[in-house]
Amino acid sequence: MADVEATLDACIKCNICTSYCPPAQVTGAFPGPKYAGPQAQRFRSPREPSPDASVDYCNGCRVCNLVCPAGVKIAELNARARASLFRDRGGVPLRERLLGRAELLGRLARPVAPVANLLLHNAASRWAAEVLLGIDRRAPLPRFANRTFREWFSRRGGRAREAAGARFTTGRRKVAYFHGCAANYYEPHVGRAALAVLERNGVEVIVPEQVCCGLPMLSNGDFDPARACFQTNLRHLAPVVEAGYDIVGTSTSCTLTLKAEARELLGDDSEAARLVGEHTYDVCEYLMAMHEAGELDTGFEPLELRVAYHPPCQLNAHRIGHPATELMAIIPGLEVEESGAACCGIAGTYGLKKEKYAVGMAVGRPLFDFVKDSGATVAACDSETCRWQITHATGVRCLHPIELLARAYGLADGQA
Amino acid sequence: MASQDVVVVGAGPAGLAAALGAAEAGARVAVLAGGVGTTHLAAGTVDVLGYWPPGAADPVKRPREIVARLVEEAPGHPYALVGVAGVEEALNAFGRAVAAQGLAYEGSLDANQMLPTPAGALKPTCLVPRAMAAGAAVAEGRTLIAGFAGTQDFYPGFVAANLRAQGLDAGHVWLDVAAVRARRPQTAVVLASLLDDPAVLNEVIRAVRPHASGVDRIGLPAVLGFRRHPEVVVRLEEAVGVPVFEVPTLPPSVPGFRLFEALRRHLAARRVRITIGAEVVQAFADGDRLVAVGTATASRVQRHPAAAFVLATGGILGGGIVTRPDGSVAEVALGLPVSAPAAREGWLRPQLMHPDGHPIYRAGVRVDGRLRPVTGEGQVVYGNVYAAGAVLAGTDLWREKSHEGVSLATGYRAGRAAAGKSVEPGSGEGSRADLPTGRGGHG
Repeated sequence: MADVEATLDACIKCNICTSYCPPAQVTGAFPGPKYAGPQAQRFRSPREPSPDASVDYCNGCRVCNLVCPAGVKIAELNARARASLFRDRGGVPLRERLLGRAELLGRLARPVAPVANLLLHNAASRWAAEVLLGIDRRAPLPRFANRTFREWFSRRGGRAREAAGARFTTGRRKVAYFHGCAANYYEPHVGRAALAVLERNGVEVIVPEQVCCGLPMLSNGDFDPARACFQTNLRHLAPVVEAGYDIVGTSTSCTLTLKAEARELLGDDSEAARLVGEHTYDVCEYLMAMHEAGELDTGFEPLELRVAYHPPCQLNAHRIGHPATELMAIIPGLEVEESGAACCGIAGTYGLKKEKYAVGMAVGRPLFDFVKDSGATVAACDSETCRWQITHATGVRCLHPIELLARAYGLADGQA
Repeated sequence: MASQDVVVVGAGPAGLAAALGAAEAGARVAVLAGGVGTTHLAAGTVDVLGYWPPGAADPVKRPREIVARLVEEAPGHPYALVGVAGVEEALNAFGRAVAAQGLAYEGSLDANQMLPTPAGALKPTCLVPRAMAAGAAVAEGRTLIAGFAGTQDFYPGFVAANLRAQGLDAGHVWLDVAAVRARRPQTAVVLASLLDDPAVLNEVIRAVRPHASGVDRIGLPAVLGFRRHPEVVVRLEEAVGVPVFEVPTLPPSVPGFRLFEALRRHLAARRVRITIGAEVVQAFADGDRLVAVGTATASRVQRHPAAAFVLATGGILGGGIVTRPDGSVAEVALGLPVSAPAAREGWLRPQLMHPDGHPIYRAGVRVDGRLRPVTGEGQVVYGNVYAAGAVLAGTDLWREKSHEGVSLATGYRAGRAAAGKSVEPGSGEGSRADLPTGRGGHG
């Protein structure tokens, strides 16, 4: 694990990051990663106030990290700088605290999901949220599901099950599914699809105790509660890994946080963090590894469908290539076109904020144009907030690639 | 990752040329790169050989002749390994690839062209983007250099004054374009994207047009459009009525971005998978064969198996070669043996601008006649690994002004070799150049 601070000495000031930075291309509010990151970092000291407020316009997409020829961890420098900026200002603002707590909102809303949806998704409350909190009234907010993924799983029996027709015997591979907040509270069908596909391939799947991965807090500069979440997750997950399970998630941001982001941003070099990080997989990454080992059931039924696929920033930050593209390529009939666009603009909760909504929509424009021009009837993306943003901006339905895989296996979502 | 025929490490000019060579030979190719390469830092021209011997007072006029001489004169030079025909073959393949993506280059090995730099010096280069070509005629008639008021890093008066100091007829003007002045941050890429907007382009045209009478050509900073670059240049030229040309800017360079994007699109259409942000940190070997390379991911090393590999990670600037405080010099991706001065004292000569250059900049990986890295004793390290571009020892690319030529020629050759196309050392398979000749070449 490279020391984040130490990497800034490697910066050669070439400005390649600034030239690729999605927000810097569309707004003057952000001077670019080089200025806000390695340059401003020289003027940041724990004993002095933060010199530059523009770092809050970094959306954390990490494109800078990927294109940097010198290996500078610019996005992490910026995330830490945002946290210290808020500390200087006397604390994390209410809106940022709220947006970081998707899980708390989910817990509160779940028992009354239909009412909560009604309350949240009407013009008056959206207006109020904009005026009082600074959450843009147009921004795509998700709807709470009537039943969480955990409730569904517990009704199903709460434990691993051997799928009918699975090609491999149960026990061959063991997975602990990390649903995160999105698949639990908003999109349980994504969790059910992941479970169905893994079990179809003879994988033993359990659903361990877990809390929010902490990324919404980390990207909103709210580090202390994020640290608490991470520690709780390590307590739940490290023993599971020691028992021979791999952690597999359907949210690329959760899995990225468990793999590296929390460790790097919080400076956690514990053995438990290393163990969990090294055994965490994005679901498509895991299935692709199975495929390479000759263990994936490739008996897909044809899907006559044209899909516009966007590999999200969070996935690119895993630096594992695009496993979903490779998996979808195996499905007969499925025509997949990759976006090649840098970012959808939402960046978790960035594009929800009143002053940043327009920046997010401008950042995403090349992607939205691609989706609209592709002629595809359905889009696909591995990251939930990006899916909501794509549908919001284009009107095109957006699925997780695992849902397409489940459909190609003929695994209808029976919600049993 | 699924096994490939060829894995190329590095996405600069050498890596992209290697991917092109391998893909044209029918191989399944993946490109892995830690970041983007030196395409973005260079001017976007294809320099083949500007000065020989490096440090010579006069520029090379006919690169074909001098490159041919290197086979005898400098057997350790990468050009000696691929020969004139190999250089030409690679330039042709490059020209076809970028032209297919709408980015035309002009020129040939027969004549270098002298292009104005942002300092107003004249730089010898071989192939130039069409949008720069009119700049090669600055020796004839009157040239106007125009810059955008309120922007950084491009000073038309400085360019024009230095052109005049060389006896050329040049003047300058500042253009006041409100949309350009208002834009922050002002990187070259941001300005170029701004000029993609037809409304902004019209403002620019209105600002330039009054200055077009009585001049033979107008030079502007290289920000004439990004995604819609070819039509931006055509519209501008039509509207002002005289040839317009781009002068390279300080890095990062928009022509370099365009070059990279054109090659990337071309390779993507050939099913080459390019992953940026995938740094190779490990070599998995079985005896004298490399089985796979490993890239750093968020939490593990990912294996990328292939039948053959091309190392195109760049030199000291590109990050493929690192120099360490203890005096050691290393090749970072595969840990190959490096030819370099024995001690740190031998890296640099006492003067910054020493006429003989600095020995450290010739450091790199030594290869056999088929571009396979060898040990100090001349033993091939891995039978299925080829090296190309600035990572190679025995050349001082930036002083010779041979960066893109060496990168494309060795990259293309290495890619073909890795794909199983065997070629004789020092020979090429291609025909003569089929690129159009530049408008104002100095024969």
